[in-house]
Amino acid sequence: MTVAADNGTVFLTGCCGAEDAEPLLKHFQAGLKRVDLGGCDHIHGAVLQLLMAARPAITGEPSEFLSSWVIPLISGLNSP
Amino acid sequence: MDDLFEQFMIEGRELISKATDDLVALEKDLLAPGRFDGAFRAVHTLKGSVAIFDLAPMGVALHAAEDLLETVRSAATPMSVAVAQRLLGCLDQCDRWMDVVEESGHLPLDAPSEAMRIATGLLALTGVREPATAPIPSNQTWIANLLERQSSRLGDMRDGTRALVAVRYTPRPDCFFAGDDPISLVGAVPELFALEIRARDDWPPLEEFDPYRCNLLIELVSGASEADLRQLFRFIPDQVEIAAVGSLRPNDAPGPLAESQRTIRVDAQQIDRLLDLVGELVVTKNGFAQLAALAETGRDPKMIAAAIRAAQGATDRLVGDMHRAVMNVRMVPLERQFRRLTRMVRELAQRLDRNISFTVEGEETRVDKAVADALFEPLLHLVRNAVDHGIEPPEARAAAGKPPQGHLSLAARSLGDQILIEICDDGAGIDPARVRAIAAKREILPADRLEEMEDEAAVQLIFAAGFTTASAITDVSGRGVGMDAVKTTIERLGGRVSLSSKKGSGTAVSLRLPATAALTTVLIVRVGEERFAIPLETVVESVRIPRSAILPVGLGQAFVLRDRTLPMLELSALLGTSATIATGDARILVVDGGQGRLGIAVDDFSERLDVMLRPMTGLLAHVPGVSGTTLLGDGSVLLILNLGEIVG
Repeated sequence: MTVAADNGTVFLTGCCGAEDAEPLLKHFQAGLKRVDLGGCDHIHGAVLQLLMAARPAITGEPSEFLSSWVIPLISGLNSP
Repeated sequence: MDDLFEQFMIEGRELISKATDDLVALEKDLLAPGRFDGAFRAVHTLKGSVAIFDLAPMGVALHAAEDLLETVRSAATPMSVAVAQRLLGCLDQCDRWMDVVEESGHLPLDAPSEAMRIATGLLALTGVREPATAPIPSNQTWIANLLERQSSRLGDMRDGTRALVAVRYTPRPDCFFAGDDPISLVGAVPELFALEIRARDDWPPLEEFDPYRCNLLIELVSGASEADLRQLFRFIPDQVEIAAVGSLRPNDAPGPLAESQRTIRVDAQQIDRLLDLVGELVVTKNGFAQLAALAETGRDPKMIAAAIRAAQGATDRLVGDMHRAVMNVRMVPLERQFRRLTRMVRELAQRLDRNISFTVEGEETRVDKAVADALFEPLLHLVRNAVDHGIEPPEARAAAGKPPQGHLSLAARSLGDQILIEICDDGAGIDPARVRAIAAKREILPADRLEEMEDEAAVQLIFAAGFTTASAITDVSGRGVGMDAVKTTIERLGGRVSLSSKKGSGTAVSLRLPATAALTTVLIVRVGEERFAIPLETVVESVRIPRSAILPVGLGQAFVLRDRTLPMLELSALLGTSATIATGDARILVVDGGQGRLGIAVDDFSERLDVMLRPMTGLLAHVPGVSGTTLLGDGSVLLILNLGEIVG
């Protein structure tokens, strides 16, 4: 499972594709505010924009491309 | 498309030139007949041509110019000097933009903001507040903004050593259904230097969120080539904008690299002439095979030698003809340089509040392309000096009883294979007393010599190294004069500078230089194991004298030549090479130093040669003592020395 919720945190692992956007949205709508990206290799654009909109707290170390370029965007460090 | 573009470049410049001419005439006489219509037509036509190419900012500026001209024509706005000047400013900027487009193919990054500034300025004169023109397409502004936001991350990459490409990717809202994943694409961008991902529209609240509607806006900067990036995004070209990041240098930086054109227009007739010469050369070359056969038959050596000499003579003549023909191909008119100078004078005069009439003559005079490129900086310097320090401000001129408008003229003409350029102004002239005072302060000459110098000679001291006359370093001319730099540059081109000035009346500077890269006759000398070339024109004579005739004088040496004692220096010592043990007669070159003749001792003289002096470039360009290099027949490189600089 690429999207799993446990103890108030959503875990995204492996390759999260477009189909993971809907479950993730449901978790956010249910009030979960933390996402762990440990072991995540890739997130689809649909998943990313959800993370940008929901602005959860991010933990965990995803793959290099994600941690260098994408995660900072979600945390808002790179907002213009 | 290229042909059309070339045509546009030529016509565009002509239109700008025509409109400028007309406006300058209107500036002098607001009612000059025909001038207003001429300017109007030119601006109108230019605006139309610009629309065909991707030069929107220039279009905006010209549109505003046309609007202003329209209001003047309909008499809603009176024609005035201010109107003419502002229009001239707009055309000058268009001319500069044409230069940049010619070099790099597109406008500089600040063109949109600059165009808005110009348009606002023009329309302010009509009373219209907002430029009611088409909005400038955003393609240029997003790049500028992106680079600005990412400037710390991009840091030193922007200075031209790396070519960067900016990409703006606006995925369609339904792109997910097409199977697109923008993040995959971005992850595949090679050499990613900066990345920004934003929401295109505000995020809806989570309850209404549609996860399958793409709301992303992506901008990035990459070091990959445009072609590679287009390939990456090839399935969605309508959703991306890809643009090479242009140079961020200021518009009119007169850097030598920026100036040199990469191509020249050549008259087909000149190529035909070259072809004819090559044909004759081929015939002569074939003759050598026959000469060799002749030599093998064992005929009288004298006869063979005579035949070889004849062939050599024919080849010599042909090479000379070809050299001249190729040099002719490289000849370009000075017009481009003069045009830039005219713009600069206009701007400077406005900035410094000087009323100046600047006339230019002889812009069709042709010189070698390299000479034209090298001339720009010295001419710029001289012209700036004239505007800044020469022509007086209006009050000073009135007080001196001079007409309110100052005159500055730049004239060029051909004299045989030389050109003569004169820059004359009717300004304040150079004050010999001030020159003497500064020469004394800078210790250029001892005080008593300064005193006894004639005024004309004293004024020439401004060419001395390390001289400055401006008491305040203005940002216009930098260090007030820099005449020593001008002199050095002109002399490196094989020319001479001279100056005459009368305090209160004005100054005239003339430059005389060879129009082409001429062949230089040099004398080859040996110093130790090495050979050097000395331009023959700097050698007065060469002598051999017995060692016994060299006398020690103080710390140096001297010798007697026809009842005159001349100091003697060893070239090996001057160059810092090791001296060989002196045996046999001394071989001395007599040269003209700054303060009289002196002898320079070498180990041996060798032959005289005609060579092409190639000036040093790049890091070596300012090495003192060397004028250039040449290649010898055996492939070795020979340094051509500048004895004047070596002796000091």
